[in-house]
Amino acid sequence: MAVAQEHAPQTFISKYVFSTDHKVIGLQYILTALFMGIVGSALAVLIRAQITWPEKALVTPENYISLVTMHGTIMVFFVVSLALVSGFGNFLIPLMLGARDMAYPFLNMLSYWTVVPACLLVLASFLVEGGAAAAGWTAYPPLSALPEAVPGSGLGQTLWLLAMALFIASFTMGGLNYIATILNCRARGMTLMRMPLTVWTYFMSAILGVLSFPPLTAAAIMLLLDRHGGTSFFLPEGLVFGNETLPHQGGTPLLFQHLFWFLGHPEVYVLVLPGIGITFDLLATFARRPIFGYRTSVWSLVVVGFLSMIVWGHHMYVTGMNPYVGEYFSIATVLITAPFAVLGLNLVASLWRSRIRMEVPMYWALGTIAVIGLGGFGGLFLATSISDIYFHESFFVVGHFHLMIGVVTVLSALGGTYYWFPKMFGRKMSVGLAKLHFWTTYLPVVAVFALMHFQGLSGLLRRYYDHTIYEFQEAGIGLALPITILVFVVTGSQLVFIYNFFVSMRRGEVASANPWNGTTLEWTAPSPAPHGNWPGALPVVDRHPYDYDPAAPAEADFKPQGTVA
Amino acid sequence: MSETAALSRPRASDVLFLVLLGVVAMLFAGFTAAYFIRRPAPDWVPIAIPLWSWVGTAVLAASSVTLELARRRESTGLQRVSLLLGCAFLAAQLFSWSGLAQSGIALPSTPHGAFYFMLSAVHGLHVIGGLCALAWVTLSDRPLRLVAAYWHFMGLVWLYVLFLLAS
Ligand code: HEM
Ligand SMILES: [Cu+2]
Repeated sequence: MAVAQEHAPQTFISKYVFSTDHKVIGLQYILTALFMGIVGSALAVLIRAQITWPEKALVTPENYISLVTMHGTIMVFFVVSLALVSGFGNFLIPLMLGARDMAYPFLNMLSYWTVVPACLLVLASFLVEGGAAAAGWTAYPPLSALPEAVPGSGLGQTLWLLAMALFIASFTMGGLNYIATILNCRARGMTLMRMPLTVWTYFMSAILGVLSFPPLTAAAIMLLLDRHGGTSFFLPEGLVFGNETLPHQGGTPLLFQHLFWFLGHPEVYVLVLPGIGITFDLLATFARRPIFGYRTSVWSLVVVGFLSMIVWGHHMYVTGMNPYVGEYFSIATVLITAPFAVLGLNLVASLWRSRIRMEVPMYWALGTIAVIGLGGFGGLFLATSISDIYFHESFFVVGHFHLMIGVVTVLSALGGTYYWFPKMFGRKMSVGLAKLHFWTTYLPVVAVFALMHFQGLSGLLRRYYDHTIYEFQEAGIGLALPITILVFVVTGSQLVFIYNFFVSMRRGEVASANPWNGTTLEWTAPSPAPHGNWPGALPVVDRHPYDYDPAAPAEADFKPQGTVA
Repeated sequence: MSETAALSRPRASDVLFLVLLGVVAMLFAGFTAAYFIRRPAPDWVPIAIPLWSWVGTAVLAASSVTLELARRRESTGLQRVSLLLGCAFLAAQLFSWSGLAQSGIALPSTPHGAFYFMLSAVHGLHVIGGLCALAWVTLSDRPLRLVAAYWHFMGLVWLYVLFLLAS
């Protein structure tokens, strides 16, 4: 049997830059996301500052809406998606399945190097005339379809579209690779129903991604034609700009909204499901017992994935849709809570009769579970069309979606970083700094977005440059300052993480191959895992992924999922 | 992954290929939704499908036949004929575009025309991709199986697009 290390790349360029090794590519994604995350957070701080001290007019109204647009775009596509889905996905899937690499390593490299120019275009768009795109991360027409609409609708929006095109191409390549790898490259004995739940969530996430992005691509093509080809797919009659009636007629912006949300809703599951999967895996390791209801969790994931593709209309209740259609979307959305509740209950039940070890990753896992509950609770009010008509476009929505696609995803990615750091670099991160990071992140960040719900209840609206000039928004303004102070704490806390990350990479305590006594296959590989992952033959799997026994003596309470000859 | 080759698993290339077809299908599903939502608007003026498009359809169908024969008989000659027919299809499409342009129908003129131009262009790009793949397997003497399947699939997509536009 060929020993993979013989083919290990030698030069710096082939090892760290144009690498085809899934672990290097995974880390490239994670570091790129970290950089984009710093940009996205800086934008968030600016947004908060403007909301809190509108009298200082830190930015112009035109720039403000650009900030909000680019913060959302960067965070969703270039931070959470890159880090959690592409980064951890690439790093973990082959290791957890007992494979040497992804099915198509070259395609994998291509996918990373397609998203790099997308990031550069996003960054460049801040510098062009008119500034960055300003039509919201949802890119609704007419702002996105008429280059002359607002300053950001010009070149900024064009660059936004190009960046998204590259992102979609990259994500599709990645998704195809995930699916092919999961179906083809599993180790001997690794049946689908023995895969760690993390891999299952990446599987569902990849399927949802590749099926729901193409309709958005179609919408983007039509948007480009409306912008530069004079067509009217999304532009209605009677638009007037600068005393001139535009020649467009017959189009409808609602068509774009439908196509956007046909992607947009599954996209949040693309992001959230891997977070839930990682939480399951951390939980099993630190609760020292098998996951409760593995099978029902897998089937719930499948059902969630399916339902997520037929509920997009819940973002459009106030568009004047037929009330019966609205009722359908309400019922379908509320239906999703059933499989979702199964996942949540299985998470909680996995603590039953367990022997919890409160190590650093477990803080994040437990914290994530609580946020899934809190975020899901707010979702009920937005799923029901009657209450959503009030909450729509308010800070209630902002609080809700940040909890789900912002906090659940980032918390689980951070927990995952502490957990798999030894496998990435062969060292552990500092425990003291990690706990400081946890408490100064978790409490304030949950408070920030929980408080935003109350702002929304009192009528505060999103995407507003200055709330103070509207009498009806007065009630919610009082919370703005406390929220912003907490945001400063959270942001500062991430510096602790970044410091811990880079210092531990070189100076952290040296870790063994299996520092947490975990069962899944990645812990049978050396830390850090070499090129090809296992120096000798591949592991052979003979049991389910979470064979822990909380009743056994502490050092003998687990059986690895597979053995390495 | 030679080490796990003995396991009975779907081939990675088959999986990749089938999911790719799913991606293309969803792309055209997106356009279909747009087509049906846009059509009832009062400014919808139908255009006649140009004659050249029907000629192209016949050429494309012929290319599928020759490619299928090439695959079954492992004949590179027929493979090259299919390549030429594929190019001829694209040429026919260009003629049909310029014909429309000469009768004064540009992209913004009518939404039906816009869909015609857009869908045939998007389909054409996929055909160009297929031609590149076909040229590559022909020159490097690789198996034709998946490229032929892709080619037939894009033929079916073309029939579907034409049906949509002409219905
Ligand atoms: C540092 C933590 C963060 C803070 C303080 C923050 C704050 C904000 C604020 C104040 C807004 C604008 C609300 C308005 O329109 O008035 C916003 C919008 C948004 N944020 Fe965040 N955010 C954070 C992290 C994230 C993350 C991690 C995501 C990832 C998914 C995210 C996604 C979004 C999206 C999609 C929007 C909507 C943009 C739009 O309206 O087009 N944010 N955020
Ligand atoms: Cu949704």
